[in-house]
Amino acid sequence: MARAAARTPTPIEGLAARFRERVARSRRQLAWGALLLAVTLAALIGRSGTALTRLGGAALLGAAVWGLVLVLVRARRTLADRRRLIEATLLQARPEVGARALRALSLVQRAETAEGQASGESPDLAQLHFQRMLALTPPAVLDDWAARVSHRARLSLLVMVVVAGTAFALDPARVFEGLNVLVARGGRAPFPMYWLGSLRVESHPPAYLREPDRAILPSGVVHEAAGSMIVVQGLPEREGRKLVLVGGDKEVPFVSDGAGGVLARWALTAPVELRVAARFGNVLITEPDVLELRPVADVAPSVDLEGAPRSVLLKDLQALELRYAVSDDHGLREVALVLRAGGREDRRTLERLDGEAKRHTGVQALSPRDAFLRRSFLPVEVSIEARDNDGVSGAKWGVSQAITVLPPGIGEGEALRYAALKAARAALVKAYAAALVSADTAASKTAGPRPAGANAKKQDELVKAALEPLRDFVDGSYAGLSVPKTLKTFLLGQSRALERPAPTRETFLRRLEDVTLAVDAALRATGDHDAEGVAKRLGDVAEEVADASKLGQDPEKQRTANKRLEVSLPVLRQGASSLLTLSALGADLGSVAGGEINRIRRGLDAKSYVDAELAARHLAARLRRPKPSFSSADSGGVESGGQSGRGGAAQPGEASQAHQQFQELMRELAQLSAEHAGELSAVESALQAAEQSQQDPELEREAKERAEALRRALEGLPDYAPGQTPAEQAAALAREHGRAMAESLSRLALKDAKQSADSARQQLSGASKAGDGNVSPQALTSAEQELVKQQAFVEELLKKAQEAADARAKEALERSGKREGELAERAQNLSGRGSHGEAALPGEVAEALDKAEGLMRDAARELSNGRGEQGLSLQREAQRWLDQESDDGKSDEKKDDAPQDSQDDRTGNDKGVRQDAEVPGRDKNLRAEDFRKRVLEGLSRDQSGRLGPAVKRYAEGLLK
Amino acid sequence: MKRRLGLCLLLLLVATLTWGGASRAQLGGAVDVRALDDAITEIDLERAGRLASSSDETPQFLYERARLLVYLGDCVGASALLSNPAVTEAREGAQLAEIARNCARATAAGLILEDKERGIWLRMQDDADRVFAPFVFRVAAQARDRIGTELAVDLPRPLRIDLVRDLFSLSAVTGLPLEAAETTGTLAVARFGRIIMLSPRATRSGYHWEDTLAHELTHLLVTRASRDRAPLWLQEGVAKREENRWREERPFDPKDWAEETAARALRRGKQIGIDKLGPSIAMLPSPEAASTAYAEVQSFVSYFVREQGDAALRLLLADMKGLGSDEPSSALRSVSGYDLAQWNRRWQKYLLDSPFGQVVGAPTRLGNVDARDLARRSRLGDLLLDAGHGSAAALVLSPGSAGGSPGYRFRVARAELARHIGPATGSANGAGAPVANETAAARLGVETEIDGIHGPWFGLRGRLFENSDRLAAARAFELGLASDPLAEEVACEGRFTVGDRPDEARLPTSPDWKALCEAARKLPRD
Repeated sequence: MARAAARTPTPIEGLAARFRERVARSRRQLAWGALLLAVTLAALIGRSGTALTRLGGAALLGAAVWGLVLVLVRARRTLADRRRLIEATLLQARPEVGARALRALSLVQRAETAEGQASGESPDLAQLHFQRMLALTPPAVLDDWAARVSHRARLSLLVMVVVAGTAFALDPARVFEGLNVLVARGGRAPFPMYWLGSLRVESHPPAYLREPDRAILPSGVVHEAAGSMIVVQGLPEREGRKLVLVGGDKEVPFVSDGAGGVLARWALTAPVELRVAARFGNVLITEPDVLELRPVADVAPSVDLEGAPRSVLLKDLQALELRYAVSDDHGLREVALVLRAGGREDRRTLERLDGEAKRHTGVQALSPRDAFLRRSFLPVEVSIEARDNDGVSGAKWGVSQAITVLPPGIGEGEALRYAALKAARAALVKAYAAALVSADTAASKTAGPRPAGANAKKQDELVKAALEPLRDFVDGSYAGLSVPKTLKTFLLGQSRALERPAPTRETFLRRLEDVTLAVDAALRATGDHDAEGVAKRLGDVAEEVADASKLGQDPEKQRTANKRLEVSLPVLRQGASSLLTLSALGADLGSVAGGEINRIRRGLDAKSYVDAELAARHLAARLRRPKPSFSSADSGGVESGGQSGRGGAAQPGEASQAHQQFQELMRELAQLSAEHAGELSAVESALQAAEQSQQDPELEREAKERAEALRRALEGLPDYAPGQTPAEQAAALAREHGRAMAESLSRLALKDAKQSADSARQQLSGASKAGDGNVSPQALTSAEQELVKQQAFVEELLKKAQEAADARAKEALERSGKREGELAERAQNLSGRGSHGEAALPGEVAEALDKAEGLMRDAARELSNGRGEQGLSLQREAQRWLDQESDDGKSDEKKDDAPQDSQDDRTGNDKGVRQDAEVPGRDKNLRAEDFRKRVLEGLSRDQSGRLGPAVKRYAEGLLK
Repeated sequence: MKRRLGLCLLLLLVATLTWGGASRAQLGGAVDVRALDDAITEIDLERAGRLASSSDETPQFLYERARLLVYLGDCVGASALLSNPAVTEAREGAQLAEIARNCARATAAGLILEDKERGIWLRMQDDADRVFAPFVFRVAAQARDRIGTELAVDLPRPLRIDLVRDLFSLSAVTGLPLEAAETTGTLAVARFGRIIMLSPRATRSGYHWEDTLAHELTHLLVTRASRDRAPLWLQEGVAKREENRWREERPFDPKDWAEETAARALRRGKQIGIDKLGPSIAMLPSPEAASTAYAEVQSFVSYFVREQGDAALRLLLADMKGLGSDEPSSALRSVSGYDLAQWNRRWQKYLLDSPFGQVVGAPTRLGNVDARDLARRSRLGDLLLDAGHGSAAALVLSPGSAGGSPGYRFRVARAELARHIGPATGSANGAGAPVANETAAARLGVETEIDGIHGPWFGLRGRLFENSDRLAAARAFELGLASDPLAEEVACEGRFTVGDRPDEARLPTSPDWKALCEAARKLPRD
């Protein structure tokens, strides 16, 4: 039943079965094989990573897939259509039978149509015919054909599989890489792959940090010092890949480490996510692990300045002590003191460090006499700055908060000083008014007689009251300014003149009048002089305003410009106000400055920095030429006819010549001193010339022999060395002095030789007294004997030389004596004028002048009598008295020229060694010559005292 | 023949048309620059402005535009224009650039006031000088109109005046070397169509600023009338002649000063020579030389006008403008029949024949006055008065013999007035005031007793006349104003400060005078 039920397949079904089972299957398998091959090839092609190869690979892959789909679809369609089936099978196996079968199928298809039925064609017959045609071909033939077809396909499949398999088997990763590359997006493959095995990551901190290298985890988040070198090292998982280290947009290729591995170095400057990757053309295949690096920046040093921020007034400052503490995260290289004022900056290195110290503290004192502070007219910001050792991003400066030093306003001191002297003058004017009224009352008939004693008492009281402000003024200090010595001397002289008892009321009145006018003249002269100095300094401020305004013309720098203007303009305005209070010239210049400041302000208000700059430049130039607004040889008139010919009123002349007279006296005194010094020098030269001319070769030879003998006698004494006993030290010093004597003797420098002999004998005596057994008594005795012998020789020679020299120099000395007498006369004349004239010299000056005059007269007498040495000695003493006053005047003038600092600078330092000796300039040839001569003479004259031997050796060195 | 001629004409026309272009433009440009130059020189700045609005960028045109800006007082703009190296390659350009640069510094952001009604533009370097503005406007307008009428020249409006603060600025704005200005005491300069004048506050006791202004104004008028072709002697001679003709006669106006000085110089062989003045009188070697030169040119021009009449002077200026030459002889000959040398000889003969210059030294009223004593007393008096000791000041000053010195007379009179002021209150002692006025008037004296104009003297005199003769008082104040406007006694109509307060609280009623008084009192005194 079951067999009966099993239907015998029709021929067409047999064809279909063969096609499905054999042909279509093998073709499908072949298509799959082709796809496999295509994938492999596409991966290998696309692995190059270029756009073209990736496109090619994709195309190949697409073609393979398309082929597969085509095969499947065709097979289905063939099975669904009898004609296609016959064409795909029977027609291939038995073409003639196949053709007949196709025709029979056509009959069947036509008979089944309405048209066929209408023409009488039988569908059954057609069907039958068709079946018979199909049956004409034996199944074996068909089976044979199908087997052949299937066999060919399988053979092809085998080839493909072998090829694909071989390609895959050679390096399977390449196929995966290729496929990864093929599907990459944006240059990155989607599937990470491991590239390096045994991965090690090390961080090498920058060298300046002096920190050891250290290993870090290859993944995760790591913080490292900025500038560190990150070294990634590992063994490549697969050869032949171009490995790179990728971070951000940057990649660093791996290079061989020489030990089978590879390494890459990454300089850490910014935060980065590092990945190991392989580059395939334009595509990167990264590893899955990420090393996230965070650089730790080197921060600028922190500077702490004690007491900052604060402001201090320069005039109140004794010394600005700057205590600072500096720290840095890695190391310090430099600490500097920085002074800033306006556009100026002065940077002074305080410490240079090795870059390892992370902390540093120090103290620095800033003197109020510091040149920068002295010259600055703007507030000075004092800060400490420290530089670190950052060798990566460049050294950074840490800045402390600032201590602002506020300099006294320009002209502030001068204005205060002027006001004080004005007050002193006012007291004199008041006294004068009182005396005048009193005299008028006394002269009137209504007033009764007054006892003489009462008048004198009243005058004393009046003088005391009048002079008190003057004395206060002389001793006062005004915003750091003192009263110039010349002015002080002059005013004290005036007060001395006023204090002298006046025999009559008229004399007193006249004297008070003179002194009042003299002080008035001095006030005006001082005011004018100060006004000139203040104006010149104010010119610098105006220049600063101009520079700031110029800066403001650049829109980007207007903020800075405005800051500078905010500081400098008030200083300028204040300086102009101070100027305004100083005498007529000051008032004139101050008024000019005030007007120009208004112009500057107007320019700035209109946002015209150009106008402001122009006005400020004009003001600067004007102030640097501190002359009256209208200074002319005449009172004007040109270009107007002005006063010419119309009897313009004459201005009253100078009411008092006292100040000018005083200045003249001081000038004459200085001149007298200079001339006397010249005369003194001439006498010295004359004596020296006389001494030098006595030397003869025989004497020189003998002196050298004696010097040699002395040296030999001293050889037994010890040399000077530290740690000696007192006796040894004395003996050693005796040896030194003795050697000096020998040297002087050999040069026939007899005075020096005598002096050295005295010193040597003193030391020898000391050594003998302190005898402690360490010095040979024989050596001491021997040395002393020789010294005595040679000293006697020297003294004898000196005596003879002196007599001969005096005789030789007699004529020159007589001339000098005469000139010295003339100079004494001049001194007497000066002293007389200083005592009786309007311009009285103060007591101490007059006294010094009198003393000098007496000594000069004595010196003149001695010189005239041919006693050169005595005369010279008196001359020197007289010169000291003269210098005492004239030097004061001279230094005072200089002080005035260098305001604010000179008095302090001239006091010398704490070691008591003056450092302000005047060295003549190159243009002063005569003075330079004189200076050189004085140095040499000074060195050769006095070598006693602590530094005696050293000075002497230096002098000898100079002579050599 | 006609056809050939027609053809020639046609060709000529075509050639002319084709030649055109650049050449014509060049020719036209040259004409424009010359016209611009003339307009600027004649101070016709409106016309110059129109001509300068061309887009021509030739160096010469740029130079003229810069010059126009300088004439307009815009030195900053001129300086910017002259920063073009093409302009400053030429010597004139470089010189003008230097002047413009310095001028810009001295005038930038200056205060400008304008009296549109009178047509006066005034720029002040110092704001404080604004108190002078009303007086400057009045004097400048009056002088311009009067002198302009006399010379038959109309000066375009506005008249530009720069009031500078000092000689330094005067030199910067005018280009006059500072040393020369200081040597000769230059007070004002007329240049670049402007008057650049010193502020009266620049000098210690003021100066005759009104006549100075008139003098400079005359220069501008002569420049305009002659297109700046008048030689220096004519410029200065006319200016000197006109400087006090614009107003009523005043005491101490120098009547024969010019003839006297010129004749004296001629007789002593110290004459300068009207044709040997150099580039400027301000650049002569000394004030004395300058004074002689002024006297000579004034005397010469006065002589010419006296001989030929005012009309001849106007004709001479017009001729010079028309001649287009700087040589005055031909213009002189055409106007008068004599050339310069002949006129010079005639003038010298006139001086030598006259009695002028024969007296040795001018008579003075000082006589036996002890100048040193006066100076001492003056200073002591000032000090005492400043300290509030009026009586003591009077005691010091009274014995002095003033002679003709107005300064000393003024001080004595002032002290007499101050004698009656209580030192503590500063108020006038009512009982003694009339007596004080009488004593003060007596000590002050009258105009015939003094040697010259002294501002404070006239200020005090005006005060003493206030109640009796208002006209005389006003005249005295005006004379003081003309001489020394910032003297307190002038500005405050005879009132002065004793100690630290005025002797009378009363201020001038006129707002202009009141402002002047307040400005005068702000000045530091010592």
